[in-house]
Amino acid sequence: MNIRLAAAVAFLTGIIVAAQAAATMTVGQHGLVFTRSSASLAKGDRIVFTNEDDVIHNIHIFGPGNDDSTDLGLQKPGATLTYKFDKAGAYMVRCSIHPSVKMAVSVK
Amino acid sequence: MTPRDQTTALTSVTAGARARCGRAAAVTFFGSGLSILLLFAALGPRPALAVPAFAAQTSQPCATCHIGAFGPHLTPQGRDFKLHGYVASDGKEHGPPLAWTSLTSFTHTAVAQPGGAAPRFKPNDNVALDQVALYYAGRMTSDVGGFIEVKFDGVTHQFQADNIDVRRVREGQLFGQDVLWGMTVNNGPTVQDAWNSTPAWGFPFNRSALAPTPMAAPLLDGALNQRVVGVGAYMLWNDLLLLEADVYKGLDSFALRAVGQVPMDDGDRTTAFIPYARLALIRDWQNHHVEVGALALSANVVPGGNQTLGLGVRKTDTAFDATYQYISDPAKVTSDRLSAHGTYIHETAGMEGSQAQALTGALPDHSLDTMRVDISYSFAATVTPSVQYFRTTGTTDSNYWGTPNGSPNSDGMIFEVGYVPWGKPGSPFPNMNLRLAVQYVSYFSFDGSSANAGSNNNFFFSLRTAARF
Repeated sequence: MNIRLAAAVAFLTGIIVAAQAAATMTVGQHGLVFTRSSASLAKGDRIVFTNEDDVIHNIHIFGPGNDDSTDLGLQKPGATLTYKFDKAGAYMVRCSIHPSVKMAVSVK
Repeated sequence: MTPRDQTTALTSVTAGARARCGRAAAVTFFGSGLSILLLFAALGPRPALAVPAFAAQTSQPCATCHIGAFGPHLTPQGRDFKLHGYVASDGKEHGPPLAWTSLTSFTHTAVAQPGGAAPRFKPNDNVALDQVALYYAGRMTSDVGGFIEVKFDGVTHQFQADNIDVRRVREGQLFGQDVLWGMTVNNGPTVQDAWNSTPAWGFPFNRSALAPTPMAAPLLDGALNQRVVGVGAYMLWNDLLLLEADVYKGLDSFALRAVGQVPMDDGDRTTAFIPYARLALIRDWQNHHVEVGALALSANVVPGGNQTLGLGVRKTDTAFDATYQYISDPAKVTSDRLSAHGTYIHETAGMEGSQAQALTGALPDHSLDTMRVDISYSFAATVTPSVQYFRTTGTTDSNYWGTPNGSPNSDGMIFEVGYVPWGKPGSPFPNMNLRLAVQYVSYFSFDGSSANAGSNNNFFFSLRTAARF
């Protein structure tokens, strides 16, 4: 019985840990800047990018390596784009259309 | 883009003379100019605007980068685009970044100008096709971009190289903060500048080429544009501090002819190297943008119009500028925007004593001070009223300035209302843009005299169109 209880507690704890690891953050593009300039995430976390402006944006993620980049494409007003940060390291998120839209992301 | 009327940029005391002598027929040309416009229209313009190729490259409406949805009045985003080398892009292929603009106008002066406003123009109430311009404007490589403008000046009947700015940029870190490094090749001090408080892109963005204008203006106030070529480096650190240094070289006669500055070559001449420096402090909040800066250049020139009988003058200009912008809702490019600029230029001009004596007793040293302040409020990026006060004062010397009483002093005000129907998100005609404007220039004093200064007052109705090939 104790073994079953311990196993159940371990299982539930794992779910909770997994749920925490898969946290999702929302970051807006508002006024042609990101609503936050930096973020710290755990591996597997996601950021949902929203476009709160009335013009088209883009989400382009650079990192964690020097040559790594992912272009999520254009983002119309009101649209959202989501990215899962699977690798540890330093990222830079930018809008390729608006040079001032940039955010540093640290993933551990 | 439309610089601060580079076609009529006034060069020292020679400017007025150039303006008067260079006013060629446009009424007679209007018919053929209209034909050119119709031909361009028939070619089918594509998503367009201020510099329409930029708009297409970025999938943005004009209003993202321009106050009042029409260039060259820049928003903070427009300045970022320029400082980052014109390379920002939506990632799509848009073909060659070619665009065109045109300017058509009607000018009425308070008093008719005897003999005509210019050769082949009437003394008053003139219609003109001021210019048709072609641009190569946009991203050239991943870190090189720019704009190259050539135009046909319908007033002087000249093909000319107009404003050119090509730059390469890199980003990095310095002292733990973001830094932007750039190099620029351009053809006039402040053509490369991103603030409308500097001369090349200052208010008014268009003015009549067929109305009288004051004779005296500092060298920095557009007199060198298109007459020099320069290379410079700049650094923007932490989006706070801008430092720039350029060196220009005056074009020789052959080069001036090649870029269309001859025969309307009545400006200051120089083939010397000209150092130029720029400093600016910048601060952006969501709703507010503030910039304060300084500029300086120094050059040996031979003033045009035979002002000094071919004798050289050392001119040194120092200037200060400031910009303030208020954006009522940063999330909407069509939100109301207030914009204010201030510019002050102090010029010293020195000759050797013997040279001054050769000018039948002219003083060896002269100073000239120009200041301008303007404010505008753009309603929904559609209707933009503006007002400016301008003033130029300097050393009185009847043997130096070509004015009746030897004073170079002028001051007055400019009132303007611009209307831009398109260039906004959801505009029904995304393939073109236009700007209608009515402008009134009122002089309190003109070339040293208050008497009859009002006779130079003028109304200027203009239509500017823009589209992308």
